[in-house]
Amino acid sequence: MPKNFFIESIRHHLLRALERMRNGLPPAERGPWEEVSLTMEIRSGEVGTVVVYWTQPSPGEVIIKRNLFSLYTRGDLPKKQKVNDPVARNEEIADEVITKIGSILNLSFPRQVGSRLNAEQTRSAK
Amino acid sequence: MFTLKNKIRIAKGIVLHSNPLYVQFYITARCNLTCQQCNIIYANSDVRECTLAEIEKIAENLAEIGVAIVLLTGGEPFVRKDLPQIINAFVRNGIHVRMQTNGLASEAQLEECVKVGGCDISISLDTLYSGLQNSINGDFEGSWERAVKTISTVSQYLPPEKSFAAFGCVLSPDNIEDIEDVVRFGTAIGWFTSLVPIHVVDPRTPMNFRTYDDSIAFRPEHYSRVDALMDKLRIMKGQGHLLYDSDEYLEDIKRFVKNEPIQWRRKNNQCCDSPSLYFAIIPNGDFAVCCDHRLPGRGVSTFSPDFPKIYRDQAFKKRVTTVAQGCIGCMYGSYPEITITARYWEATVERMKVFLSKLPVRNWPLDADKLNEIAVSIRKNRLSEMDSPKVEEMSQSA
Repeated sequence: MPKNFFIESIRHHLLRALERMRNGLPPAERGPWEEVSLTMEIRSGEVGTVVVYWTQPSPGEVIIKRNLFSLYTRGDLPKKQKVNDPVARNEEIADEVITKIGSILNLSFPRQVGSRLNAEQTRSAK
Repeated sequence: MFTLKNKIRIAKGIVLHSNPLYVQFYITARCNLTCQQCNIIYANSDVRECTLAEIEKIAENLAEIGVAIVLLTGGEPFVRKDLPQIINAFVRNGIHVRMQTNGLASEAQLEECVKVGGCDISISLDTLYSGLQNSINGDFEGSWERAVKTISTVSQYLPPEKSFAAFGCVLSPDNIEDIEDVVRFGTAIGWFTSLVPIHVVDPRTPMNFRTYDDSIAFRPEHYSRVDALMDKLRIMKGQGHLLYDSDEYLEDIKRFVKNEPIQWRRKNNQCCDSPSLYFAIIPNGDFAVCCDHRLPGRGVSTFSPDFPKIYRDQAFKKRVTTVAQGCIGCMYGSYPEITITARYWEATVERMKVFLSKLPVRNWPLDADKLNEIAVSIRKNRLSEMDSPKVEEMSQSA
């Protein structure tokens, strides 16, 4: 069966985000993140959603709306052209999904992400 | 086929390494196939595509920095409605355009693209067996037949005496026994063949072009067959078969499939020649080191009026080289072949012969039935040599 463009694209961009996350950590803390990279899969969920799931270091899943990502934006048809490039927003969304996975698995985060998460937790506790 | 201006640019690039000979422009990530070895259609999906006005600026900027050849690739470039205008933008600026297609371009599109100056095309063809090609293309029935029809159409519109046509052929364990046939088929109809071994990457270290599908990677049991094939291809080339790849490159394919260090970068401290001799552009017009590596951090737009100045800046070149130095290396055909041509004199002479000698005799146009007939006869000859069980499959697909 032909591969699904959106699922394969989301997979690639999440793997990139996992790599970014992992590279921000000391080598000794990267192992569990690597396990997520090696076992992460994506499948279609209910209408308009995809399910990101993994089996290592312990199984879990995150459901995301497919249209969070702006993919395959055309440039040859004036009606479909976009003035702003979605690249930065796509990267941000991929990072958010990976942060969610890390929170579920209780993994170590790079200092910058960790402090942002702590600040969010403090805010919500107030 | 090349204009005088282009020949000078190429010669300057080869001798002085002063200007980029070749740019791969990924004008879209959209495609109508999902080939098993390709990941770029997913990797480049996150950026918007350039508009025609932006591409016209890119063409001007590339001309200013002395680019000789631009490959318009994708995705499937022919899904862009404005492809003829894109080709024309580069031709107007004196840049030689190589078109690329997975074989699903329509006749009207091809006619239009040739009319505006496209005289160089590469079509993906991995085997002469339709069932296998359909499977390699991601289970799209009829894609082999469509490719043959496109080859026929190209032979109607490209001028036989002033054009270049080649098959882009991905070598994988699945088609290892069919490569010789593809080269024979190409030779019979005046088309060159260029090989790229399949690139597979570990999901922990994503690279934009390489597939994550480990099931199609080469295994130790394939190594001796790849060695024998490369040796055979060198002999065939010596006999006049139209194989575009240099001996140096074919030897590196042997190493690459075994995960041994490749050698074509050895004269440059194990680093490729991006951005001095080549680089890539992603669909939004941003500069990329190559098809596998974007520039980290803020992108550099190739349609910006400042691009020629940025390109010549030593700090920019250093930024690119830092990425290239961290790369494990590739065998993507054009990048290695340009380095080999520019740095190894034997290969330079070999390449000059291809472009300066008379083009092969081409009895074009060829209709699709004739092409099928040639393909069947090549398969039949080979099978009779091998006495292989594929005879049954061949008669079915014929």
